[in-house]
Amino acid sequence: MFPYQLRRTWNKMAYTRAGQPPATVASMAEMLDKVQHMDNAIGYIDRRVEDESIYYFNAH
Amino acid sequence: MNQFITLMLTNIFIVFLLSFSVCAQEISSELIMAPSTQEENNLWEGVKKTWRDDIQFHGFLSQGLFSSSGNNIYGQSKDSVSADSTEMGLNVSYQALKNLSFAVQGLYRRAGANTGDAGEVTLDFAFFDLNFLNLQEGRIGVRGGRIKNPWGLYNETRDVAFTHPTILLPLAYFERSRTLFLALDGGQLYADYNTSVGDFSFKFNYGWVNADDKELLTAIINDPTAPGHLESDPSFVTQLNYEILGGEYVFALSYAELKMRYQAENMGDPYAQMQTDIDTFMVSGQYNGEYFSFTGEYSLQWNEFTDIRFGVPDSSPVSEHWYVQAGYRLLDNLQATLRYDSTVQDKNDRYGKGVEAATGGMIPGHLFYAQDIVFGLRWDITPSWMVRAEYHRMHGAATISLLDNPDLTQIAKDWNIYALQVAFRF
Repeated sequence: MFPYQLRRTWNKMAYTRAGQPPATVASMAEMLDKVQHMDNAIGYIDRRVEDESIYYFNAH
Repeated sequence: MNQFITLMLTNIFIVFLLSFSVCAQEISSELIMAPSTQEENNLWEGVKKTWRDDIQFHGFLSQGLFSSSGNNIYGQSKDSVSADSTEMGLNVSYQALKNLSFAVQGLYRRAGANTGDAGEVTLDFAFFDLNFLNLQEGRIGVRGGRIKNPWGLYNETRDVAFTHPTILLPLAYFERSRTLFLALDGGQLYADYNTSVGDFSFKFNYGWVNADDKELLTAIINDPTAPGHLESDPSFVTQLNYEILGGEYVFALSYAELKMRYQAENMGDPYAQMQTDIDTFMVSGQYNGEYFSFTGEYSLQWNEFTDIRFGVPDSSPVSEHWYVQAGYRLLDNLQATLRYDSTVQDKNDRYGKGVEAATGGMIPGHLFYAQDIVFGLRWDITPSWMVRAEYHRMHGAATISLLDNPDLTQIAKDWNIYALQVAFRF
C-alpha cells in the first residue's frame, strides 16, 4: 500500500467516522513507546529511522 | 476583481486563525504549537490523553474561486470571479464502549445561489454505531441516525476537499441531486469480510432521504413558483465494495431506489399528486499504482415522474452518467488529473431535442446533456494544507444550477470553467 493510499483511507475514515482511523503520534519516541506497550499494535514509520530497539527484517 | 482577491485573502486569513484555535483540540501529529512551559506541557499531555482515548475531533475547511465563460457556476462567475464556494465541517466521535460509538458532523456550506450568500449549516451526519462482531476476518454492525449514503467511490465524502482529486466532482455526482443522495435518516447494516483474495465491504442504508431541495423540484416540474416541496418515502441505498492488494484495485457496485412525493402547502396546488421514483445503479473501478491511478464509473438512472399536474404527461427519462479519469503523481505531493466526463438526462433524447420542441424552444436542448474535459493539478503543501487548480471545457449545460442561471435564454452550450481552491484539514 502506498503512502497516498493510506492517507486516503485515513481521510475517508476520519470524515465519515465509519470506524476509528489510526491514531497519529507526535514523535518517533512516542511511536516506539506505543508499539512496544500496546498489544497487537502496528505503526508506520519512515524506513530510514535507526534505533537499537527496532529490528528490521524483510517479509515477502 | 480586487474585491474578490480581498475576499479570498480574508478567507485565507480566517482559515489561519481557525487552524490555530482548533489546534488546542488537535490530537494528531505535526503539532504546530508547542507549549512553552513545563507545567503547560504536563497539562497538555493530560488533556491529549483524555481526548485521544474517548473523543476525536476532525474538521476541514475549503474555499474556492470560480471563473467561467457562458454560464454561472457557484455564484456570478460568468466573465468574472466568484468566491461563493466555501465548505467547513467539524466532526466529533465518541467511543463509549468497545462496541458502541457515536459520531456527529456539522457542515457549513456556501455554493452560489443554491445556499444563498450567507450559506447553510446542516447536520451532515449523526449516528450511533453498534458493532456486533469485530474480528480480523470481518465485522458486522448497525448504525442509526443520519447516515451518509455509500454511492460510487466519492459520495460519502463529497464535501471534503481532500478526499477527491479535483475541485468539481465528476458529473455523475450530480450537484442538482446532491441533497437527495447525500445522506438518509434511518439505519444502516454494515458488514466487512476480509479474505486472502481481497476485502469485501457491504452497506445497506434504509430510511428517508432529504428530498427538500428547490433546485431538484424546479428541475423536475420546471416551475420555480411551486409553493410545496418534495418529501421522501422510505428508500434504500446499498453498496458492495471489493478491494484487493491493499487498495491497488478497487471495485464497487452501488444501487439505490429513492421514492419521493410532492407535499402541497395549500389546497388547490396543481402538483399535489406528483410522485417521483428513481431506481439507479453505479459500477466503479479504480487502479492505484505508485505513480498512476485510473478510475472509471458508470451509472444508469431510471426516473419516473408521475401525476406531475393535470395536462402534463408522465415522463420516465433514463439518465446515464459515466467518466474515465487518469491521475499521475509527479511528486508524492503533486498530482495531475485528466478526466473525460459525460452525462445525459435521457438516453432516449440525448440532445434534449424532444423537450426543446415540446416547449417551443423555451427550454434549450443543451440543458439535458454535458460532456466535460477536465485538467487539474493538486499540490498537497503539507498533510494539512492543499491547493489545487483546474480547467474544464464543457459542452452542454446539464449540471448548471438553475438558481445561478435563472434566464434559460442565456444558457450557453460551450463554455469554460477555471477554478482554484485552497483547503485545510485537521
